Amino acid sequence: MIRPTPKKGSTLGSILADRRRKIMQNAEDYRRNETQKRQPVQSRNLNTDP
Amino acid sequence: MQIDLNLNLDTAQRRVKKSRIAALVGAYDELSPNYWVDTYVEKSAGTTLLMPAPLRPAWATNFTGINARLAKTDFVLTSGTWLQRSLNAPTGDWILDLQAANEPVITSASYGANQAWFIKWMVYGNGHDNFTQMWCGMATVTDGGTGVALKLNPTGAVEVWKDDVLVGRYPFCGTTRDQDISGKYVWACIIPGIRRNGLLIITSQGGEFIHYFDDLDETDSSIEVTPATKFWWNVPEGQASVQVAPIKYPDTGYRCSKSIFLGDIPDDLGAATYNVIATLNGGSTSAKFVKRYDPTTDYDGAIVACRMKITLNGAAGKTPFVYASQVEYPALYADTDGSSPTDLLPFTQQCSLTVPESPSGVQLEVAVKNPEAVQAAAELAGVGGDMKLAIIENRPLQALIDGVLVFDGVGGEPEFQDHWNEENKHVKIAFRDPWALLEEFRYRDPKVWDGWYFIDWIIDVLNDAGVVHYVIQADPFQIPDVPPGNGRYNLSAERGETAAQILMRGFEAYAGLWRYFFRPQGGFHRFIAGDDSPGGLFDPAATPVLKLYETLQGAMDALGVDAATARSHVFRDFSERPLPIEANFVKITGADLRNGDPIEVQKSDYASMDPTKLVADRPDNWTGSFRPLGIYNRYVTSLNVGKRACEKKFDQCSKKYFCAEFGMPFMGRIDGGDLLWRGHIVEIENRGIYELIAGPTSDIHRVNDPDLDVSIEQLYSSAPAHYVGIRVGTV
Repeated sequence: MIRPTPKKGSTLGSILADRRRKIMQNAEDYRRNETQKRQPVQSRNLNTDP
Repeated sequence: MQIDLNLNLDTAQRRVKKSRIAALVGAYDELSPNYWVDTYVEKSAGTTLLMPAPLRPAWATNFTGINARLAKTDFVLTSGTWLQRSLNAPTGDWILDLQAANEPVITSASYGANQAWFIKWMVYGNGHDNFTQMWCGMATVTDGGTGVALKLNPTGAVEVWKDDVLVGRYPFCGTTRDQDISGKYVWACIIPGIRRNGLLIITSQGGEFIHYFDDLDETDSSIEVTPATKFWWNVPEGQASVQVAPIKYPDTGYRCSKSIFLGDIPDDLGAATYNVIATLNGGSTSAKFVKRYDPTTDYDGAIVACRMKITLNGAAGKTPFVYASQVEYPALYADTDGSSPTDLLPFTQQCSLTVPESPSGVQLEVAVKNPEAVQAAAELAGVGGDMKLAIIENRPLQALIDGVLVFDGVGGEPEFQDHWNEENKHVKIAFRDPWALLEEFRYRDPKVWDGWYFIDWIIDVLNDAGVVHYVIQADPFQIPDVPPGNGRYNLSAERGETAAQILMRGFEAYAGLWRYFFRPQGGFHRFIAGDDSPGGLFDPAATPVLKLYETLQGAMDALGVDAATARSHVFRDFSERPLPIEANFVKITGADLRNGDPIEVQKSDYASMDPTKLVADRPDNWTGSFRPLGIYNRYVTSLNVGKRACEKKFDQCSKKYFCAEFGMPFMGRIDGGDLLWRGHIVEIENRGIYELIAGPTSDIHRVNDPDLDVSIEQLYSSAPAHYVGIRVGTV
């Protein structure tokens, strides 16, 4: 006999945890990129020169 | 409601039987200095072209055809008494002499766009004087005021001017050290149009460089560095002895690569295809493998060593510019043995389906007991020996409900739990969806997709990994085809990269808002990719695939169906909350294809960052802080791609999402067929329109309860499911 049971833990909860992890990771990726980069030859700020 | 579930192990599944065998040649140091005829490879980016006539030995002895120089009658001589003489007998090696300076000369005729020029002159004086000896250009006026002009100083620099503005300076000798050039003829070849917006200069003293005109868009294949116009020159000081010729090229030539060692011996030598990335200029190109020490004989498959031979055919005295070349033997595919699948359902203790937000985490975990009994069933099904249930990994499994495929997976390694009682031995296997095939497939040889249509590229990568079922939204976007150089491409697979890595990087660079994952649909577990644009696969304005009701009675009344049917239209345990925003500052970093220099594009949401915003004025995505996201993506090879990637990533990250989780009494099904799955748009009564971003997630297990009066089929039909969706519309 096979009986259905509710899935343990919340899927939304894990999505939220993922999201928080991602925010930390984003900032870390940003830091790493900036410190490893040579002076760019081509650069645009889409707020001022889209 | 009666349903029929099957968990069929060892079905037929398409796999790669033999990897593609290929080679990709582009950079200067990948080309042979030994095996070639009538071709020239410039060093700065590795472009191969037909040998310009002035650089061939015949230039010294022949003065007609492609070796012709211009004579005095070909010029408009504004003033002064010009003399014409021939350096070599009998005639044709024309030199024009004038014992005065600063007398500009221009051709009588106009020449075609991007016409290349050869100019040679005598260095008078002590040979160490540092001044502009030759001033020349492509225009109808002779003062450098318009068009491209060059100031040539053989002991110093070549200055590149455009419309009277100095735009570049390069050493004439390829070095800044002094060279004695007194009493010599020096020359320069001026070749516009190479690598689209480039101007190649080759000098007699070893100088060789490409100037790129940044005002011209290198992503545009129709740009001209110089229009159809005249050629002018002027010796500003001293006296003039000058020879000029429009550069022409031989009709054909070839260049071989350095030795290549193929990954394997191809099965079918005739199946090779080639892709030469080039600017044709009216000519044609081809490529093939040849024997390592005999470029005139085709590769015979005897050993893995060979060379790639790239042939260039010019037209009308012009040359193709070849940037890279690929030759490949296609991969071979075959199905796994599907002649005797075994249904695991009767032995299944537990069966859990998880469909998370990420495309990589989808799995169906199946726990079976009594492997001996499974083996017995397999033998009944026709497996002629040990099925190795507890040993073998990577085996296919298909789950079907009512005969409709709902999962086509690849098994992980089996987890075996021993027990003294045979019946209580367990084997647990987690099956992943076909994304596992994309993660398993690694490119053994490099591959390049410059200039492909975006969706054709997706299909090609899927095909490479053996995946042939997909639904991909139409999209006119083309991957840039900036001329690749020095082994850098707009879009390429490097050795050892997986199909999954390449797809993810490509979506990030070109289609940041696209969703992509596998979903069972219409009998196959298909790759789905698209976005939420109007008419797109995830258009929130499209008719929802299912409407879910708050109560059973409500569903029965609205649909006019009985309770059993209505249960597939009811949601429960609904909760909703906002997600934190991912970033309010996005910076995309790529690399310029031509020199590897970084390209960066950034965008900020100032309103989201602003701590001083009045409470009532704060937007939904307000954080009052700087929340950065930095991405490096080597597929971002031009400013345009960077802008596109930045815009899309910004739109995705800086938005406030409202995310809902809800349960259903069992996995939703659309019209009794396909399962309700991630990516579907549903309407939830009194709540809104939601795009599912995760689910179904469902967990079913067997209990030893003989009193429970319900059949296995009914219990499977009652598999409770969880879904997560983001709100995309209101009702």
